[in-house]
Amino acid sequence: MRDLETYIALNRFGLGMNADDIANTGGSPRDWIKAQINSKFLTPEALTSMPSAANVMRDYYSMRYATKAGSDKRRQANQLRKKDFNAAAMARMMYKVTTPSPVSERFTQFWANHFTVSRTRGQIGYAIPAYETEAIRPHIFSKFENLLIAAVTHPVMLIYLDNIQSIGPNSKRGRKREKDLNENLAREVLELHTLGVNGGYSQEDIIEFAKILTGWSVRKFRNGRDPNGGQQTKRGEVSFTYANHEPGPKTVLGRTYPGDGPKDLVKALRAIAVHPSTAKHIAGKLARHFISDTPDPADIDALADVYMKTGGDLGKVSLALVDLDSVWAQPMPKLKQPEDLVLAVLRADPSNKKITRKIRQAKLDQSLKAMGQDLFRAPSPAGWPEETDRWLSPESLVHRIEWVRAYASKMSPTVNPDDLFEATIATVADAATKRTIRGAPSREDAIALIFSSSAFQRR
Amino acid sequence: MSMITRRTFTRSGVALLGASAFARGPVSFAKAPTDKRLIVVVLRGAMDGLHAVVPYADRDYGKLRRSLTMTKPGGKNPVIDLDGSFGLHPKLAALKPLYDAKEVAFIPAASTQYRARSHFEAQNMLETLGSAPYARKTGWLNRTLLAMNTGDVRMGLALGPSIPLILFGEAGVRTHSESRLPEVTEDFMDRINAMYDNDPAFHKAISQALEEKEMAAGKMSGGMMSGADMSETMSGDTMSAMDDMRLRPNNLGDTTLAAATLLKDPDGPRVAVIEAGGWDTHFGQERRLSALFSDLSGGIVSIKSEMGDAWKDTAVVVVSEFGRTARENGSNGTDHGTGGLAIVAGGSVTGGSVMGTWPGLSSRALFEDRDLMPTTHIEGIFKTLLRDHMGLSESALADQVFPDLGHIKPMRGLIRA
Repeated sequence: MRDLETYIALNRFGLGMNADDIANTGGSPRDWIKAQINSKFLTPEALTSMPSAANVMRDYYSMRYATKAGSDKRRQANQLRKKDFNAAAMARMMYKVTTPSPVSERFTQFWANHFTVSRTRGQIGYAIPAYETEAIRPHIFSKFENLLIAAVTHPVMLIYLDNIQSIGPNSKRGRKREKDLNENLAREVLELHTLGVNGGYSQEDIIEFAKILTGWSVRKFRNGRDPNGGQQTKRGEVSFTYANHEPGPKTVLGRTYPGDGPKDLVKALRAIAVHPSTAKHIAGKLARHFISDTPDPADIDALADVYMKTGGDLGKVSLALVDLDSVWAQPMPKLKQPEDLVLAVLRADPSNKKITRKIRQAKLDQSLKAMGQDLFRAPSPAGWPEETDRWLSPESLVHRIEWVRAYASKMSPTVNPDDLFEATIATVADAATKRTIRGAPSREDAIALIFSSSAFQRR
Repeated sequence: MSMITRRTFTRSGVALLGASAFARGPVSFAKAPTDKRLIVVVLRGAMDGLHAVVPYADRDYGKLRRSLTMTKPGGKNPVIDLDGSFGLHPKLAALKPLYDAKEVAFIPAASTQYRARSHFEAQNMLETLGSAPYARKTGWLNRTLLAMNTGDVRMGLALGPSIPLILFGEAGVRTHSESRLPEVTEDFMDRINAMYDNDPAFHKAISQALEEKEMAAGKMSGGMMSGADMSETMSGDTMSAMDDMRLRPNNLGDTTLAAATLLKDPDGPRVAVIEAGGWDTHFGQERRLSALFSDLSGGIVSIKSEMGDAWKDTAVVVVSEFGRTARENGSNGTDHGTGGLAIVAGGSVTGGSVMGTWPGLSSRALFEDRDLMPTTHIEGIFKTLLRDHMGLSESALADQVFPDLGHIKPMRGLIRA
């Protein structure tokens, strides 16, 4: 590995590097990236075969409503749910460690974080891997509106941002029970998912959009059909509850929707998706994630331009990102977030045949928590912070070092640190890094130093 | 520190972590082909043999070592005399009674065939004993177990969370670990700090982390700064902070005790490997080695006392991947060298002497005018231990254990006839 472009491709756009990854780039790193901006890698059998989010929620509701708190039955039900979740989380991690298309995974992570859902809302926790598989993965290289619709109308999002509690004040149930709107999802869609905080919407737009969202709910009890229409739905699936839906026309961002039930939401999301503010917001987020905390405004404009010209085609926007000159130059100012650091280490381990065991042994969930990234538990709907400073705290760095040191001691004693160095950071390691690694007093120390180096941790 | 702490280890608490042994049905540990025990202590980072067994009578010694120099008994910085020419570092005093009982031999100027100075290449050589670094994929002690036909009964024991390369291979090996994770040592953090030199953000973060630790350590210890031991050349405040942290260099005391407890069991393992880090003393050598020597000598003594009757059947060999420069460097330390020190102890050892050929310390006598010239093959010491102590046949040694070392003869006179 003597090639800066390869290093950049595999780290800035991938999940770190190993000898196979280098070979896969085939000497043409840019083409290697572009080939992965393709939906064919996004829905592997290993993930789609896991329980659906609707089934996870069904199991949750049946536990919650059919067993008593503190009872043995509830404990058993919860253990089964936890087992399913662990299997799904492991399958997800395994796929990320072994996939030959790490670029697709990076974009998946970006969009899953853009549309964050979090275990901070306990009831949805075990459904988050399924949410990623269903709402995020299939759509990240299609039109943004498809991704937006899939995420916003997913049961996990509707629960996470309280839309299932939102009731139109003039709806049947609102009039009867004096319940009211919950603006949470409406606000976050406009502020976080689409237009951005200064994207040109008013409080009135939020309220009107919240009204459009009323009725979008999740079936908690038995399978069935809403008495006022719609399809037959199963427990745990999204169902449109007419009794909660605010009647009458609503006006969002100057456009009026007639008030005909669930169709308004899809129309409104499509309109918001191609708003210039949305283009700018998403272009900025992509640039800050993949390039730098302070990207060149010209780069953001270029991406936003492609977004607008293609009607929000994320595949085209992603390709345009790869073709920016600035992504192919040093410095590499970003830091791998803890999950990506762990993935990079696992992927770099040439003896990762017994990967499942290694993932368990490495106690990843606890370690990631110590490093500041409790998996599936982002602190807010805004997701994990993007700024490098937020991740490079003294405490977090020490936890990173402790984890890689422990991991290095578990690696096969046949791993040659010189080979590992060549396959990872040789191109960009500075003199101090090279000298320190070369002078390491043991193989394990040398490996741990490679993983601890800023060349390995940055991207 | 000759007292060995039983802080974490009790006999009743001995747990073999190699639980997978039982997956193949009940495994008999009783079928050991020999009563002899071999403990190999690998000191990673390269021990400075000249600072352990000091050639105080060599007239060139004082020219090479200035801040690190030690003197004849009765002098200003006296060693513990062994034979009128060599003396022990005071922190190795616990080994003197063993020496007097002819149960420990010191072999200066010992080295493997490896002549470059990379730690991990050298350790790879020490552990695989192939024709070159990375040429063989298995450890020679594992090949020893195969030659002893102990593959199924798991006569090998690794003290630590993982199996080191020296014991790695086809034969089953048990592991015993005192702590869940290896500690991140002071030495390792020193290196991390040096590595982040050119990345200001990383450097700032690690400096802050170390300062916080220093403050915590200062509170606990009441401030145990020792000015005399401080490194003078390591840059900046953080190095001072690191020097003062005084993390435990390693768990050698606890580990040796655990090894002995497991090995003395008639149905227990027969070959154990103990690893200890922290020996790469490029700076602040006296302070760092003082702590390590205490641990090492205390550990060897604890093996003897814990083994009881089995001590007569035991050999302990202490080796490092290479030695260090004969001259001290500019930071009260020493750099990577060649000829090192091997220590062989045990009831079956012909101890009580400094063995091998002393090459001398004159400029011409040094290897590349820098390192102690190797005169004893470490491989030969291992051959003797396997043949004369463990009872392996010549053909097993030649064919199975050391196929690349036909040209090296076993060291003579090391094991009691």
